[in-house]
Amino acid sequence: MTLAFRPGVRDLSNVAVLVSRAIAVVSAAMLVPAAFGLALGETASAAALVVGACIGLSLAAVAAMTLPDLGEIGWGDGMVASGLTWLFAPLVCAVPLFLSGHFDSFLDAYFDAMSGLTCAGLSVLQDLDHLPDSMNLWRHVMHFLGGQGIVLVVLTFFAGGGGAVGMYAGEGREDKILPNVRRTARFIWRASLVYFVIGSTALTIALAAAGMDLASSVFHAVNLFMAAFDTGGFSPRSSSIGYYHSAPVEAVLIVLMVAGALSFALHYRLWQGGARELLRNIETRVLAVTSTAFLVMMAIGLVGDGVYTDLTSLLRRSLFQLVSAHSGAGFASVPGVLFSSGWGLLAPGALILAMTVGGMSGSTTGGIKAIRIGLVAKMLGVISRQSSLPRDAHVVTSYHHMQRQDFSSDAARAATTVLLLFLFLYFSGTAMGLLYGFPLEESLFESTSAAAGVGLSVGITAPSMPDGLMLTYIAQMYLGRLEFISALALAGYVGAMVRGRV
Amino acid sequence: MTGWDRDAPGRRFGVTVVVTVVLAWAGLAAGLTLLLPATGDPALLQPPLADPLVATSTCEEPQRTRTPVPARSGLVLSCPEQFDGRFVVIEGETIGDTFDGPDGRLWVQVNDDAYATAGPLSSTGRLTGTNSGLAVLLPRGHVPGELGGPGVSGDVVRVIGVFQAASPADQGGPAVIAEAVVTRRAGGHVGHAAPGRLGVAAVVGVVVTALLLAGAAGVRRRRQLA
Repeated sequence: MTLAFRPGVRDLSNVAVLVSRAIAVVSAAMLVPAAFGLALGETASAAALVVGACIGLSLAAVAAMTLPDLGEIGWGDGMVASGLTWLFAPLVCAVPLFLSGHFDSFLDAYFDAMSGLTCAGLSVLQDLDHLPDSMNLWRHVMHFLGGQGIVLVVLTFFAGGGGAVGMYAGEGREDKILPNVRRTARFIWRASLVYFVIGSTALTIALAAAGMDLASSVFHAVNLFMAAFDTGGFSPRSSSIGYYHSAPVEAVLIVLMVAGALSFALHYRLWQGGARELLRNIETRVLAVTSTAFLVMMAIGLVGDGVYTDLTSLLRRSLFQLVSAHSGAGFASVPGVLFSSGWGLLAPGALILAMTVGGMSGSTTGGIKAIRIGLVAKMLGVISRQSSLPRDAHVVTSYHHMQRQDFSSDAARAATTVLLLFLFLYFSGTAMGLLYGFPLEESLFESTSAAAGVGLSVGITAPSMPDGLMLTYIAQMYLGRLEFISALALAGYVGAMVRGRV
Repeated sequence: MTGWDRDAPGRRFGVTVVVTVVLAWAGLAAGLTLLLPATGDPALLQPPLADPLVATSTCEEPQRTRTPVPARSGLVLSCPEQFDGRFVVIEGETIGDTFDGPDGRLWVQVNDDAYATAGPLSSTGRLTGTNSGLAVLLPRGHVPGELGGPGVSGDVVRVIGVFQAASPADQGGPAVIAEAVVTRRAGGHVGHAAPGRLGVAAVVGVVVTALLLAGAAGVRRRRQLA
């Protein structure tokens, strides 16, 4: 075993085996919507999905035949495998999208596949409202695969040891709910299944009550569940959630989006009856403060600009939109273009801030994450108290995150580093938007949405957007989803390979 | 020590791997274009509408008269304040589903994008951008005919009504509260594009993949025995 930054051939083969297994998982998943398409008589769409599945499964089979069995895998190998998986899996997922004929180029299809898997929800797909149902299902299955974690599947069935921890952490997940990663992965799948049954049933009832026929209700409910619980943001129709004109549908989605924004460690604690954790957890406290602050900010903006004059409209639209932005789901209950054309400045500003923060660590949300905001706030508090004390005094403090934890400067430094990296990511995307001639407010909104994996759009994301900007948003979605570390490990690996030395 | 246990490979190996992977995917992406469904099948294109709506193209505040302003969804949503409360006429395809609205009326989405008149992309293969439309609250008793969807071209309707940027009927959503709806062209099933080469590729792909998976299973068995 060699160090991560000078991979040996065995390391490379381990990484290739892990990536090929992840590709096999996403490819096999295409067969579900393919079968659905065949049942509906959507033969071209089903054929596109089958071709995509065949390409991925063939690659995995060739890898299985030519590469040695998985050896001992280290943390670095797992990290790099995770980083590569999130680059290659969208390539395979893009194949059926591209073959559907609803994209200008393979890059456009790759954009949507990356957006689907990273649970961003931005899309450049054309004529969504006539898209075959099987392809529409595939878009939402991508959210499910990405949100629950392709890597989780691989961990559940194929991997163990230090590499498993590396792959898990490489996906931007930090919580170890149960003693080992594989059992943690299985818990996440079990919990998701329960939410799936409850969530899609509730959505089906709400949609049917709004006047939709039962078959359509079930189809839309399943898709919306995957997009909401995995905080993805794709929706079966181009007008997103505004299409349904239903407060109950929005209410169920709010619950699912909040559930998706909670960490699975917190879900586990709640399942065990530890409801007090909700009140004590530093992340839930941060989210309570930020949600309230941003909601008030939105309300002031919307009322001040005269957008809404009655309380019901104000509450319904602002609450849904705020939860959608904060959780990273990215659903819209009004057309996105209105955020820039009709909502003034303060309300979109609140949405940008909510997207910036995101949800909890160990959830499927993007953004900086509440734990880091909490730790940085703690650090500022410590610095403030320290400055008023004698020079030799040492401030000791703690916080609650599943258990009481002593505040350490190392944790605060790590949180600050990631926070700064996210800010850099938001601003670099904004700068690219400005370079391409888009206004500042819109560039900032769209860049934050891409990097935080939200998916709300004020209209910059479109099939006609420049390729350079599209590549920027792809990179933002990728880096934001992986929270940099495995992407940096991958860059180190590739750099060492190309240089041929450490 | 097997070949797999060698030390770190040299620069040539690294560059070769990276370049090969990039070229392979670029080649695959290029090859996939050969499998795309045929575009612009004239048989599937809808005939152009006679006397199509000529919409206004500026945000200048429309006159506060009962004469409806011909409008497009993109423009109306770009300058909602100017159009709020104005009498407008839009023309587009009824899409998807209907939903219960207030006073026994129905909500429907009316898309006025290029697909509304030319036909669904999945049928025609013509890429002309994303969907765009407005929510419409239909007059009481009006039930739309064909609703657009996969393989279905919805009725093209002309809607005359009041645009509300934050409609009370929808608790704040933008909508056109229709007073009259005229069907300009009846919709119907137009079917999907035929799979063509894609179908052949799928069949060949299934056979090749099955063989490869069987081969992989054989290799695994041999390794276990060894």
